[in-house]
Amino acid sequence: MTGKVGGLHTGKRLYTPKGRGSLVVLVVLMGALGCEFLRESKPIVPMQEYELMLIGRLDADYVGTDTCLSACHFHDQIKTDFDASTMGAQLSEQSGLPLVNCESCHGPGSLAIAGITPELVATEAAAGRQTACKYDTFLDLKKLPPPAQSLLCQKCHTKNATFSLHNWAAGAHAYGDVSCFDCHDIHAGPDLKASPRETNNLCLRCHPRQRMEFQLPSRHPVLDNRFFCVDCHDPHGTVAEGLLREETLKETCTLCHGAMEGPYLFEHADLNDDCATCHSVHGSVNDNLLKVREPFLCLQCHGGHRTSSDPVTEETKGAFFTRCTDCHSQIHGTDLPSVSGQGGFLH
Amino acid sequence: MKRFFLFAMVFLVLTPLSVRATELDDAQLLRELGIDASETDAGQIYQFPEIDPEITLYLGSRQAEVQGSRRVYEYDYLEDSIPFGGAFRVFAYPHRMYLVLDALNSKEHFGELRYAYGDRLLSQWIHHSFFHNFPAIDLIDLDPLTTNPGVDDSRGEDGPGVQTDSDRFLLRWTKQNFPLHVSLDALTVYQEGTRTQRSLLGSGYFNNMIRAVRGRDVTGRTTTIVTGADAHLGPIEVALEHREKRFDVHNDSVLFDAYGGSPFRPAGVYPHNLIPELKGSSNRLKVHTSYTGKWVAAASIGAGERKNESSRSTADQLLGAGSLRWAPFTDLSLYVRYAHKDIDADNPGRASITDRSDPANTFTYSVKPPVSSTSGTVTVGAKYRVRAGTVLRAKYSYKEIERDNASLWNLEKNTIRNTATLSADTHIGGTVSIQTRYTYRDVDHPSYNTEPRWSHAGEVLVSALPHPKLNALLSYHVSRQERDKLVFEETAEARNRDVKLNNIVGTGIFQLRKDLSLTATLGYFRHTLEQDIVYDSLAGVPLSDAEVPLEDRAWVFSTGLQYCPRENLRFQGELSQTRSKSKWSPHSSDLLSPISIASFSQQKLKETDLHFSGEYRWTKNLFFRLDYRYGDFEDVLRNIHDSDKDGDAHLVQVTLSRRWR
Repeated sequence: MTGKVGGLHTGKRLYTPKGRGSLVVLVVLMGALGCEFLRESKPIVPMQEYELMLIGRLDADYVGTDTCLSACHFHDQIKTDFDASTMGAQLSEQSGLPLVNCESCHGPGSLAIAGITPELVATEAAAGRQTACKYDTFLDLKKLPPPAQSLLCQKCHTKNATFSLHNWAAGAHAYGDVSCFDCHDIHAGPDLKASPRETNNLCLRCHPRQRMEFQLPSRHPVLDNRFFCVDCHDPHGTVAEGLLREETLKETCTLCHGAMEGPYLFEHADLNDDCATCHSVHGSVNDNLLKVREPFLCLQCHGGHRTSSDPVTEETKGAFFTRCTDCHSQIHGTDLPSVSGQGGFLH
Repeated sequence: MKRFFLFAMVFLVLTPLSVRATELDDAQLLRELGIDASETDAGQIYQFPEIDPEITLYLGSRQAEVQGSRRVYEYDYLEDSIPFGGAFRVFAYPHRMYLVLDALNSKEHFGELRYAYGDRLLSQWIHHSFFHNFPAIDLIDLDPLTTNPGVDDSRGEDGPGVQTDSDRFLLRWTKQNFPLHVSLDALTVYQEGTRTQRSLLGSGYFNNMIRAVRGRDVTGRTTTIVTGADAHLGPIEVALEHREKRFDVHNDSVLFDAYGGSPFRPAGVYPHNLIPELKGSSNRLKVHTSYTGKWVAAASIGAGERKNESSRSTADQLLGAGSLRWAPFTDLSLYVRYAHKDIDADNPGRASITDRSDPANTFTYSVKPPVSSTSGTVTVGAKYRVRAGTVLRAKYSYKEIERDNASLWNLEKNTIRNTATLSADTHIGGTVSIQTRYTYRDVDHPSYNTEPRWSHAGEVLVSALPHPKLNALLSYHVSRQERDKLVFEETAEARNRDVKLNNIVGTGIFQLRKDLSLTATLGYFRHTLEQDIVYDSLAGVPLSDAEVPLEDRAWVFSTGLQYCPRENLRFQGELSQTRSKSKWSPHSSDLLSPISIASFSQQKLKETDLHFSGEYRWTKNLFFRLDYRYGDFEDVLRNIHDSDKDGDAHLVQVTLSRRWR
């Protein structure tokens, strides 16, 4: 690739893979300089209005998860699951503190349990009743705006270097007001990560068009749970359109379809860089996820073979106009020349 | 690789030194929180609870009966089997392990293992495999007495099918009291089975065309391994990744066949349908600020190379991306993103092919240089919350692609895409949510005929709770694309292309009774296209056929019922059907006589799937489950030129599960 400076082609390569050394030097320099000025920098100014929403009642005190839940056993399973999770693990042996407890998210709980004693809980339990706490003194998490809900998680998950969130802020989900709560239910059990098998339903409940595409005759087997949305997409945000897991569609598709990645000696121009030129990647009416059936797919850009061969028969027309890929079977690219020495994707 | 490891070492040494002094250790944290250190002896404030391990196991029987085409359940291995599996979880601090395994049969399984050691080490392994019953491809020889063109079908009895095994392993290690992570993300996708291989044999040229089809055993593995490290550098976080990716072929990567003579080369045994091995590597650097700031910035840069081990073709890539979000106040946020991609493709410039029966017959040809390109995309966006529940968004992006060697490929040197998107979301009365989006795109010098000069797309998504027992969802998507100049090598007469896309989906969830709910979904998809197409007459005169229409249409209907008559008894049923058809209609008499070329590719299909399941909990820890599926695949049009055939299948599965805790 030749470079362009001030509108003039320099004729020199701006980038070669062998020039990666400069990238390494740049990074090392940045890291070294960071030693001096970055450590002196001030904490980043939080989004104060959202953060204020997460403080909770100022007249309440933190009482600790055990104090709260020892009075009411209704949440025992949730507590056990949470304690067993990564977030419930200890910060360190010396600290004696869990990483996160109930009040980290729900806010201070003293007002909620005021007046509730183990004796009262036992009495009401004997009568078949659950002792009600003053739940409305906690933060009303479900009514928070989505960015505030996400901020609740990100208060820790930026500190913890959660690099899957690298592109979250300008990603489609953050901008579409999808919050962490929409996909992650931290009370569902000790396994806080959503299993790949759960992710399909999580995604498709908001993307009905894609659900329908997965029901078309040619499709990726997502509804069969043989294939998962997260195999191709990263819901936490990426640099690519459509939250693709890799930087480009081709890189994403070739995670599985590696044989089609190339580069080849005879390429299909630069079409191979965008698989979606020919394929509807979720599903299609047409075979092989094609956007348009053969031969029309190819006739969109290429002239058809001669049609008035002598004699004109149904067979000659069938050979030329059923499926172009019957003969041009190496359509994604080839390293072997055809008979006439051109590409042709025949060999 | 050496550079990477050198850099990784420097990164790992420098980073902790630079920031360790400013990181708060636990003791400092406790002091800041005002907690008396004497209270913090392990066990006084917090003790990891004792949690009993839990095991669930199941065993069952699965019966499969298939008639006709196995495409009825395209992604199921349709053989009798004994499914088994279970789940196991143990939390003996600091160890936490969770394992789930489902083995439906020898070719379909799912496994997930998560292991964590405190918060220091997190790991996850995900395995899934499935079997793809590839639709067979039939070549029709309408006149076997005519040798050119002819057909050679040498497929065996077994239908084509490929098993895919996907394994992903994630490992993440955290340094204690310091946010430094080292990670490994490895993905392998292994495919093994039989594909349908099509080839042009005979002479491989017009003088003797033999369309051939055969079964071809294929085994290939795509491996992607990413190693990385990330850490804080004050207010920013930095990550470095190294990626290795390769595609390996584990059996015959090339076919040889005897070809007849042609005007270009003599008869001989020549190679064809080569599957090359590919490999590549890349390095990426990512930097971002805190996600919680008023300003949030992220940037990444990556450089990599790809190489074809067979032809020595290469493609080097430089990728850069950056984003900046500014939220001046809660109701408004703005962002700008930039993405850069530089692809430098190269090839040896020559290609050879050798007759295996007579190596003296070696033919070498020149190969034109590939297309290299540089593209840059700038996107700016804004989001404004008008009032609680109502949000307006706007986005504009500018993308410019510059291609090298464009004229050799009859492509435009520069393509510029301008895209503007407006969207609005609102909630009405807490029961209705409406999301709307409109996108306009304008493309200067579109390089391929499939890319529109102008396009408009709109989308509406409405969800409503008009009654506590009814949840409704409606989605409508419409798109129009136009083009007034098409590019064909043969002629400049082809001009017009119009594309219309309509897609509507409606879903209703009805809570009929406390123990009974019904779901119904209806979807309609219609894709129409009108375009001038080009073909050659016998005299070699390029002709065009104007405004040839194509239409794809599909209806999807599904309904489901959930019934829980007792706490320990649950039934589910679902019936779905998809009807689709596709056709196109040329006008020119050359294309219609003696038979319309459209008749070769018309298609009309109907797919039906019925699924019923029941689950009964005998005791607190003993479960019984029954699954029954019936599928029917119908080739309604019975076009002999496509490879669709009728098929139906019954699948019955019973399982018994036991849980111990």
